[in-house]
Amino acid sequence: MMVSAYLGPRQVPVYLAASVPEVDIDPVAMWRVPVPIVADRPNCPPGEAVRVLRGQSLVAVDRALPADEVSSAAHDSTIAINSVLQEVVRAAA
Amino acid sequence: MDLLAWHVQKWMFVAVELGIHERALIMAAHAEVVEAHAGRMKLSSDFIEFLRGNLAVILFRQNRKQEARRMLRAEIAHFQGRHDEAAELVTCQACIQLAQVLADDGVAEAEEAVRLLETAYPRAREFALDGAEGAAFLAAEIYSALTHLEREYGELRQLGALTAVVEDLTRRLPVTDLSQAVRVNIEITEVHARAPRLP
Repeated sequence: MMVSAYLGPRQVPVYLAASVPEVDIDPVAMWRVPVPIVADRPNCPPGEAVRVLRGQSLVAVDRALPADEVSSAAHDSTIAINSVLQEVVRAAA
Repeated sequence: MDLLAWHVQKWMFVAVELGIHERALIMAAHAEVVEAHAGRMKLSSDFIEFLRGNLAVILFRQNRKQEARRMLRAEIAHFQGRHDEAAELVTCQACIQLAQVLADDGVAEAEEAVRLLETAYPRAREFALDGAEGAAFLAAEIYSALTHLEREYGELRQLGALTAVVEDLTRRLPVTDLSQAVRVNIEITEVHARAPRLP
């Protein structure tokens, strides 16, 4: 939720938001990474987090990103968040 | 914010590289939001500024030149003067991109564009020692910007001499798919510029 509060309110890529707190690599190495790094831990699936947030009406499932050729289709899933809720989350940060 | 900027930039860059325009535009909209939050919080870091530079390229294609200028100037100000490889490459690319943004906006802007390309050229020449293919693309991009400026502002001081040395560099570097594409684009533009206009 915290990461999503700093993105647009529509079509927020679930795996992008989930990967930001998970990826911790050397800043020099980051310049050489050619594609996005996506955190996809089976014991903590981002889809499960979305299910919980939907249950609390905090997010809604949005239209998937147009597919690319490098990532799994599951990584194209997105959510929508109310912009007022985003502001509340940012204020609480 | 620095990590978030890195992730968003990567997702946007891959979509642009693969030519998936709708995906690239969705990610560019997120990049704009990240950039605005970073600006509001007065944050600056390598990846926030790198995001600004890459976002500027998309905004320029949307003819949002003022925003593109602001972001590229911020990126150059952040990286210029550093001597690590990443900073030198990013500065070189940003100088070329800002020159392209400024190229059609008047004589003063064209003079600034030439100065930016004068800054970018020695770096492209130095990169040729380490990776000739990457340098070939940078040199072709500088040459493309210079030929564009010559068509509009041929009388500008330094323009002829700089164009000659950059053309010489492009001839000595290997031809790659990207550098070839830039050259073909230059030739098509030249043909269009010379063709008589239909009544």
